Amino acid sequence: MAKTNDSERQSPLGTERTNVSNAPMGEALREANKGQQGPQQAIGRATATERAPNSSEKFSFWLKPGNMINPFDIVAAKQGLDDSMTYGLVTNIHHSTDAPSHLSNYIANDFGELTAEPNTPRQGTNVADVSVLANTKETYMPVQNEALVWFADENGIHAGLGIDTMKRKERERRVPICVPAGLIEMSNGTEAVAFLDKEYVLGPEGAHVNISGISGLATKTSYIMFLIQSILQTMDKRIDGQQDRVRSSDVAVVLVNVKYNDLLAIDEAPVGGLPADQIALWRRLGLEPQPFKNTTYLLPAGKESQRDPSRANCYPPQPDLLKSRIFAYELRDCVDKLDAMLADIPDEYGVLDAIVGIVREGLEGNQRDWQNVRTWRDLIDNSPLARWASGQAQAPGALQPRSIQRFFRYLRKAVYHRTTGLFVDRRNQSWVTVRDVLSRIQGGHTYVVDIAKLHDNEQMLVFGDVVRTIYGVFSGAGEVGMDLGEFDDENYEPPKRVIIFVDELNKYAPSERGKKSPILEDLLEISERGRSLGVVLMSAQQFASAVHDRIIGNAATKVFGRTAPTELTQSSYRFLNDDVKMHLTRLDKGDLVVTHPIYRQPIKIKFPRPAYKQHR
Amino acid sequence: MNPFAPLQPALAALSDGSEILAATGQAQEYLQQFDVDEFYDRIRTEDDKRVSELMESPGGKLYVDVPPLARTDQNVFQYFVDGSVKTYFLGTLVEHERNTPVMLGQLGAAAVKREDDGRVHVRPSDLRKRIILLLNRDQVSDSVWNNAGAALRNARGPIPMGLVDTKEEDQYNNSNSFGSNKEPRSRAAHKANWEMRLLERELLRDLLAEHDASGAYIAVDGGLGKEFKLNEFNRGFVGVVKNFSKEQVFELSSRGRTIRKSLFELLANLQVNQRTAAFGRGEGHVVFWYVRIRPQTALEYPLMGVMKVEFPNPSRAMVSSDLIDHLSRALVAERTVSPHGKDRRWHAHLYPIFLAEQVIKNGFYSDEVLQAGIKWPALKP
Repeated sequence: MAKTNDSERQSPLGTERTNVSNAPMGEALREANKGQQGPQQAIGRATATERAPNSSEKFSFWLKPGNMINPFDIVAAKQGLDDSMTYGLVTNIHHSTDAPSHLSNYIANDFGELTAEPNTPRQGTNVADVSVLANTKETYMPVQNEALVWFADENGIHAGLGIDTMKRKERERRVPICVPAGLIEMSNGTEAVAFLDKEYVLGPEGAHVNISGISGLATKTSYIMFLIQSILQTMDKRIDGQQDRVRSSDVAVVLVNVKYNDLLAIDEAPVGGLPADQIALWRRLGLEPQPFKNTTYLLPAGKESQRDPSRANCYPPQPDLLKSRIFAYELRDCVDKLDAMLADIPDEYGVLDAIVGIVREGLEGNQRDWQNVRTWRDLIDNSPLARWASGQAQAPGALQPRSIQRFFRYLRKAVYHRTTGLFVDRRNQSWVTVRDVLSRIQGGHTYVVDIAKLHDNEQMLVFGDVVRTIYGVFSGAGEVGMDLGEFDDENYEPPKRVIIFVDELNKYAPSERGKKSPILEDLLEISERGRSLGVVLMSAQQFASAVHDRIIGNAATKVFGRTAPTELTQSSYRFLNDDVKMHLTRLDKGDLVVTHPIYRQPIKIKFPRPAYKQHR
Repeated sequence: MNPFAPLQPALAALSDGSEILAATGQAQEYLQQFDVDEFYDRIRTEDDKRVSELMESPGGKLYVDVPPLARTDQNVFQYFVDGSVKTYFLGTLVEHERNTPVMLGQLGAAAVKREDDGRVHVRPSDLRKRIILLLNRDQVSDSVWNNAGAALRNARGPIPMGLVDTKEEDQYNNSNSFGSNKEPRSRAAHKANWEMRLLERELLRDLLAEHDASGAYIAVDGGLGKEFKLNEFNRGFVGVVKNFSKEQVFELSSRGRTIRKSLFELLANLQVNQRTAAFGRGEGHVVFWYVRIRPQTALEYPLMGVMKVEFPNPSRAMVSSDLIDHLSRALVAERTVSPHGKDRRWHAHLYPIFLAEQVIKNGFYSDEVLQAGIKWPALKP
């Protein structure tokens, strides 16, 4: 039975309607099943009992003695009522015997005899629980008792997961769709490349990737960096000699470096090169191990930068000045970000908020009394605000001088006392602002914004700046702006897509139970509207439960590394079945579990180490 | 598909011309309340309540140490045979003043084969099943009997079917110990057991060829009745009785002195990993002895943990003590693992025999299938 699946795509010319013929799954699957139909290769038979019946969603099978499987293996079972095959993901394996109690086993072994082998071993079997992925004829009648079960081969795995649909779409549209996301390895040695559907990663069908897991074990940053590289390489692939309209040169990548110098050499090859097995893994996935190209490092100014303007406040070694820019914030750069700077200060009655509003109004409106206020020092010592605080003039409304004095105290602390040197009264000629650079963000370029050495409130400010600037560029794309002549590139075209990666997302988009964040609204906006605008958020955090539900919920692709059992009891993981959750607690370093809208069940993958220089 | 459809013509034949009082709620399983093992052993040994004849050579000891001979050292017993039966009351057939219960039996016999590495399996040829209808031939007219028999002979189902006369005498029901209780349903249940025993015997006959070829011994569940008193069953197997008659008295002679011991006294002094001397019964056609496979201290009652072993001896010659020791040692090793928790006779049960029983029982049609599948033809109002 042929089906037609209509889908709509956004394009600059309007909505483009494309027809993806959904040819019978059987076509690909029959191909998939070649060579694995013999009972000799079977690993067991389906079993349904009174208490554990098979259903459309799951089935169980017993394993032939001597065979080994593991959770996340993908198996194929003869459906039993027709000649179709049902694919499923092994979620758990039980061993049971005919002993009704442990005491029976003790007694049966001659009352605790340890040395002798039982004359007749206790009869037992290993039974695997399987979640149904797909059926070749789309018959979801339960797998029948006694049906033969095999390991799926690579084509079978793709069919089971729905990857064959992506491949078909790719062939029919002649544009790259399949983004390699890692390698599935099964217990019998079968390997299959796991692909993500590009339209569910970069939009318009879905977007955003979120990864969570224990620091150090989950390899979150490495995976995102691999995935971005994979996306960029995939976009340049030719399908039947044809290239997509949107290529890697139309995509900008913005990476926020939050830890040490992890992302400060992503354009350099690893020292000594990648190990051979890693190179082989890259190539097995159809990719070339290569560092990022056209990289710009945005590094914060620090206290040392005042003496040496070429010295940034970053973990050494500092990237070459030819490919890096130093950024700092003057008062006027921060007018719209003062709320972010003071975000962690309690403001129950909104007094600070009101003062920030007055300052913004004065400076942004360039009101007469505020025209001479150029620096932080001016704001504190020589502004209408200072005069109101000292009682030289009457503050508007019910604003009390002591409230303004409190505002100054916090501001001094933020700008002078507890700062890393990010705030300056006058920026050096060579320095820039994040907004300067990112408001003219270029496709085909990668921008690393380093905030690793900044204080929390400074990090919030900078990341907020990144998010608002990029969102501003994309949401305002197409607007007719003022002609700035030689001060601007009149031919500037924003890239068609931008990928933003940030670790420790919980700081910026905490769960509703957590503290407030001034940039939460911006992040929610990106997560909910970004896919249609072309802004893709790739985010990471240790605990998904610490991040706002809507951000996690809007990430079409969710990735999990090793996760603590206590974390798994949180509601953020409710959509995973209990067996998969338990497996998350045992994942090896570098193993990840991926959920994706096209996949019918989560899968376990491994991926190659990123091909750039890592200092640690 | 109704697996009992082939039975319908026979039921139609039975109800044609006779009156059927159908069991309420279709077929009902008939449960025997007493211990069948002990009951049959009592019948088998009714003529041998005084035991005095030693049947081993050189012998000389009442209690002989038989330390376990593990399968890993020598896989002595490689086949384990059991049978199982389940009977159902279908109704009462009435013709004039005569009547007979109509019962159905599902019978099976299976042999578990144990490989040298301990793996067990049942070959298709070692699992035999039969479905029988049982009724008293004397209580029905020839036409009903003949038509029902013909219908069953012509039935083409996955399992062979047959008609059994519950009145027919066999090695058991004509004995004194069978008792005065001739209640028709009990008698029918016994006949089903007897048919099952015959099925086991047929299976054993084929397995003896395996013994002849490889030397592998066969353990059969239950004692050796007269059904095995044939020359072809003269080697290669033992009968293992878990629950045996306690009525034997042993007259033991030594250096001119004879002492009498009850079975209770005899077994109370039998220690774990020991066997008794081997005795004869049935004029020496069967040699038997007792083996304690579990220590008394671990069990609730001194007679628990002991199995009675019967060995065919049609030649009535003395049996080698070495052979008896060898078989006993192998049987002692069979104590691991046990079906504890699954069978109340676990203390003297052999696990592979338990497995054979499970294979048969798991192959029976369930009560639900049977009740739904067997229907009397529409009865006259």
